Order: sequence, then structure tokens, then C-alpha cells
Amino acid sequence: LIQNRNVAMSKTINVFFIDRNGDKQKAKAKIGTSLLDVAIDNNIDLEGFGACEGTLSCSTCHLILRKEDYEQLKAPNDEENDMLDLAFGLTPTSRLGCQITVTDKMDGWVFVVPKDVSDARG
Amino acid sequence: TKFYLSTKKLDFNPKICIVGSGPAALYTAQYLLKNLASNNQVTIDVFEKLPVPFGLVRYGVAPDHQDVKNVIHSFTETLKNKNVNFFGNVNIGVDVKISELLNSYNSVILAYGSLGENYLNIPGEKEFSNVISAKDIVSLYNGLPNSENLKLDLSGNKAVIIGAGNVAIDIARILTSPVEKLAQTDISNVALDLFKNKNKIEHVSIVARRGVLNAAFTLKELRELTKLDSVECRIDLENFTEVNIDNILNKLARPRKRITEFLYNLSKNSVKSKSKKVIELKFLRSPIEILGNSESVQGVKFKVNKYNFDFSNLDNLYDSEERLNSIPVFEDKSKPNEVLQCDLLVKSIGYKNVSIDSEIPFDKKSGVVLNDKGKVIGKDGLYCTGWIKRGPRGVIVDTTSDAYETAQKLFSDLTNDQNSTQRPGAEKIVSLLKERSVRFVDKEGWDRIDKAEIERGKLNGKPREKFQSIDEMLKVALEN
Ligand SMILES: Cc1cc2nc3c(=O)[nH]c(=O)nc-3n(C[C@H](O)[C@H](O)[C@H](O)COP(=O)(O)OP(=O)(O)OC[C@H]3O[C@@H](n4cnc5c(N)ncnc54)[C@H](O)[C@@H]3O)c2cc1C
Ligand code: FES
Repeated sequence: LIQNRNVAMSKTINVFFIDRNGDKQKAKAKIGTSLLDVAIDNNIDLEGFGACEGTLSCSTCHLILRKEDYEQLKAPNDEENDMLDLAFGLTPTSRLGCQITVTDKMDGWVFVVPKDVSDARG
Repeated sequence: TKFYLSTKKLDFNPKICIVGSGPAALYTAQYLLKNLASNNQVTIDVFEKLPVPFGLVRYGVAPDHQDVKNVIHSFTETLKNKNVNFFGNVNIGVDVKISELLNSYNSVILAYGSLGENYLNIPGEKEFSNVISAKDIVSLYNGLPNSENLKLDLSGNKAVIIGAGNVAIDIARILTSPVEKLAQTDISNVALDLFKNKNKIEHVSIVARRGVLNAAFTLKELRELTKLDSVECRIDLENFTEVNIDNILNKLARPRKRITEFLYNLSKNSVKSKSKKVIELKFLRSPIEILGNSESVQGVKFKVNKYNFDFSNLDNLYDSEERLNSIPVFEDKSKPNEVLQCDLLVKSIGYKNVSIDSEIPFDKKSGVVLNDKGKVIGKDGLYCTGWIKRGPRGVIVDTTSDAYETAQKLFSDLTNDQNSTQRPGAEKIVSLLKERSVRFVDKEGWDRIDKAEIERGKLNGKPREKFQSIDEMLKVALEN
């Protein structure tokens, strides 16, 4: 679950979410927490985001990364990929926010919430 | 398409109602609250046929998938919003007509899901006992009121499930799961007793009409099956003989590619161990007759199909599901019919939309309410969202896009309509309900049921023990 919520690490960095309206929102990200935690802790208002609360059962925490950022992360495991398969607007640099742990190197990274949610899959 | 927050304030307080309280209903409510409530005193009234909310999240999603049900937390927040009211135990179409809702609200949103089911329409379907629809088994293990009367006999050891979607996989998994594991879920007591004392099922075949490239289940659910300790999941290599696997994999879209690759690897690895229960996947088989004796089902006769397609010609255009599903599948006349013996036959061939009120422009052919981006065609003020809008397919996350689209359309209609005026909303409907002696459950009532169920669950080491009957629910909800 959201075990890392209270990790006793004071160090934070800044990351950015681009929401569905295209607006950029700044968030303080604690090292060691997940990007889902970051969105919740910063009250980033992303409708429907994190429905299964980080248990890898929903794909509502889908985020798109910049290519150069994506490549710095370890490739997603099978279970994450299985859920990504169900996300709409899947891109080659898509990840699930609840599966990304914040590290030092992510300072300034930008995470895009897929915009075209009305493009419902058949 | 951008969804701008409007700064426009309406000169009346919009009253909106939603028919149903599943994911589509509550996601739509969430969007509307966010985009209407900041400028206006909006009221959203949720009418639900059952005394309790959440639709298939409560009564469809399998009890051993509690993680999926976490979404209930966010729905509960939505219900708690001071601008949202809940009216449970109100059967729209029967207790209150759609026309009455349309007269009382600025907008009415249909989100009542898919109440019907498909039939095989083959001989024997109605004759023999233990030919059961997936919907009935799902309702039984999830404790839907009145489901406890289902006559389900698990004393034989072979089950056949017709249809190969996630619901089929859910049922195969539940039928073969260790009882100790199920006992820790919110599975209904009736089902748990049955599984504990009378379940002898050891072999489940999941059978699909189309081929291995058209499997309807998702990889997440399949992978879970293959990881169960108690079960061995098999697929025969024969399923790939026609399909030129090396040539096609790279032509498929990513999800289809991954699942096809997984199935192929599974077919190569299948070890036939004797100790475990078995779940077997079979493709290209259409049921043509159900066989049985005077008491019960004994088997199913299938004709064998084949793809009518040259797979060396499959090009990159086949990276869409639509295209893959257009590949024709015909009876393979060179193969004799096959009979699969079984003691239980489950039909998992899909849910179906129905109309709940003659007032609704429901299209029988396409099986959905006719709509343009969620606005019901030919009925001002009427909208739809979720399975009733799009058909009974897809997972919870897909209802978020339906909800978004419908909320957006409703929102723009409401702000552009010069003729909109103040409507009475619940005031009017509650007086009708009282007149008609319909006892309804409000959100405090639901809260009482919720707390009582969780309390009851504690006694049995379960996350919740649902009330099985509507009377019990009403008793708890309406006590003061
Ligand atoms: C067996 C099964 C298992 C599933 N498992 C998963 C899963 O694990 N993960 C996942 O993501 N998705 C799963 N799904 C899909 C998911 O449940 C659906 O995508 C989703 O519930 C559809 O939402 P909805 O709101 O359109 O319909 P529903 O959830 O069906 O909600 C409709 C609501 O309307 C109410 N209603 C009906 N008629 C009336 C009436 N006349 N008046 C008032 N109210 C009425 C119903 O009682 C119900 O509460 C599953 C589906 C099924 C069938
Ligand atoms: S929050 Fe559900 S998969 Fe990440």
C-alpha cells in the first residue's frame, strides 16, 4: 500500500505535474515516496487519480515522462506493464505514478497526466 | 479537447440527478462537482435501485480483488459532499418515471449499467440444471440480494466456462481458490459455505469461440491465474498452429502483443502435473448443443472453428483490436465436433443493456442509449454515462473517460441554455416517494449499513460481511 507515506526523510525536491487542462503544477516531492504520494501530499487535483491507492490494480495513476527522464529509470516490471496495457493514451514513455519512487535525480522532472481521456477505448 | 473551468455563474442553482451509483455515476458526479460547484450551488441527487451504492464495484468485482475495490474510498468522499444526496432503494422506471425526473431536474444522467445478459440460444440451454450464467455466480459470491437462491451444484469435478473474458477468469479462479483464502475476503456467507463444504471442482475449461489472437481477458488477470499455487493454468500449443507467431508478434499493438506472447510461452511450458487443479484455455470452439440427463448437465458439444485468414499477410494495420476482431472465423468442416464433459456449465458471454423506461431512446440493435457524447439524442436534459452509454465492456478506469465526456457535454449545455430555470429537484421526488410508500435510504442510512457490515465482518475475520437481504439493509438504515 502507500507504505512510504511517512518515510522519515526530510529531503524534498521539486517536480511538476501537467494536469489535463495543460496547467503546470509544482509539487514538493519527498525522497523515497511514490509519485502517487506526492500528488496526494501536495493536493494536486487530478480527477480519478490513484483509484486503487497504489496497489497496481487500476492504472488511473498513468503519467507520461520526458524521454530523457524515462530512460534514467529502471524498466517497469511485468505487473506494471500489465496495468499500463489498460491505460488510455499509452505512450512509449508511460509509467504508473504509484510505481515510481522519488529520488534525488528527479529534481525538476515533469510528469504529464494524459489529457485525452475522452478518447474512450472500445 | 480542453475542459476549461467556467467562470460563468448560472443565475439559478442547478439540480442534477443520476440514475445508478456505480463508477460511471460517481465519476460523473466528481467532475460535475469540480466544475460546477465552484460557481454555483449545485445539487446532485443519486438514485440507486438497491439500498446500497457502488454498483459492480460492490457486486461484480471479485471478492479476492479487494484492491480494486479501494476506489470505493474516493466514491465515499463524493457521496459525503454536502451537495450530493443519496436515495437508495429507489427503482427508477418503476417507483419514479424518467419523465418525472426530467420535470424535476435540470439534467438527468442515466448511469444504470447493464442489467441483462446474453444467451447462447442453443438446444439444452434451458433444459438442464447446473447451466448457470456468469452473472448469477458473480452475484452469489458477492452477496447480491436474492442471489442466495441460486441452485449451484459443485459436487462434480469438471466445469466448463463458455466465454473467455475477465469475468470467466474471475469465476475460474474463485472456483479453484483455496477456501481459506476466500474466507478472508468479503465473499458472501452463502457462497463460502458452499465452497467450504461442497466444492469438488478440480478441472475448469475456459472456452472461446474465436482464436487465441482475440482473447478478451487481460494479461493482468491471466498472469494471476498462472501464479496461483493451487492451480495449473494450461493452454495447448495447438492453439498456435494456424497463427504464424513469429511473423505476427511485431505487428500487434503492445497490449495484444504482450498477451499473445504470454499465451505462447504458457503453451510451451505447460507441464502436466497431477497434483493440482487445472484451468485450461481453449480457443476456436463454438458451443452447438448442451447435453444432459434428466437431472443435470453432462457436457457441451462444440464445433471446431478456424481463422479464415493467411497470417503471412498480416500487416501493421492489425495493430488495432477492431481489425483483429474483423479476421473471420469459420467452422472447420474437416474437424469433427467435440464434446467436453462437464458437471457444471457456466455461460460467461456478456452482460447486456436493457431499457428501464419506455421514455428512454434505447437502441436494441446497438444495445446502448442513443447519444451524442453523452447527451441522449432527442431528449433535452437527458444524459448517459458508463456501460449504458458505451455497452458492457471495459474496466473501471474506462468509465472515467465516459464520465468526463458526459460531464463536459452536460456542463456546456447547462451554461449555454438560456431557458434553464430553477427546478424543484428532490423536494418534488421525495413527495412522490412518500405518496407511493417507497422507503428510501439516504447517505446516513447507507453509512449505518456500511458500519454494521464492517462490524459483522470483524467477527469472521472478513473486511465486511454484507447483508444478504434488502429487508435487513432497510432495517439497519432506517432505524433511528
Ligand atoms: C463480474 C464483473 C467483474 C468486474 N471486475 C472488474 C475489475 O476487477 N476491475 C475493473 O476495473 N473492472 C471490473 N469490472 C468492470 C466494471 O465493474 C465496470 O466497468 C463498471 O462497473 C461499469 O460502471 P457503471 O457505473 O456503468 O455500471 P454499474 O457498476 O453496473 O452501476 C450501475 C448501477 O445502477 C443501478 N441501477 C440499475 N437499474 C437501476 C434503476 N432502474 N434505478 C436506479 N438504479 C439502477 C445498479 O444497481 C448499479 O448500482 C467487472 C465487471 C463485471 C461484470
Ligand atoms: S494507483 Fe492504481 S495502479 Fe497506481
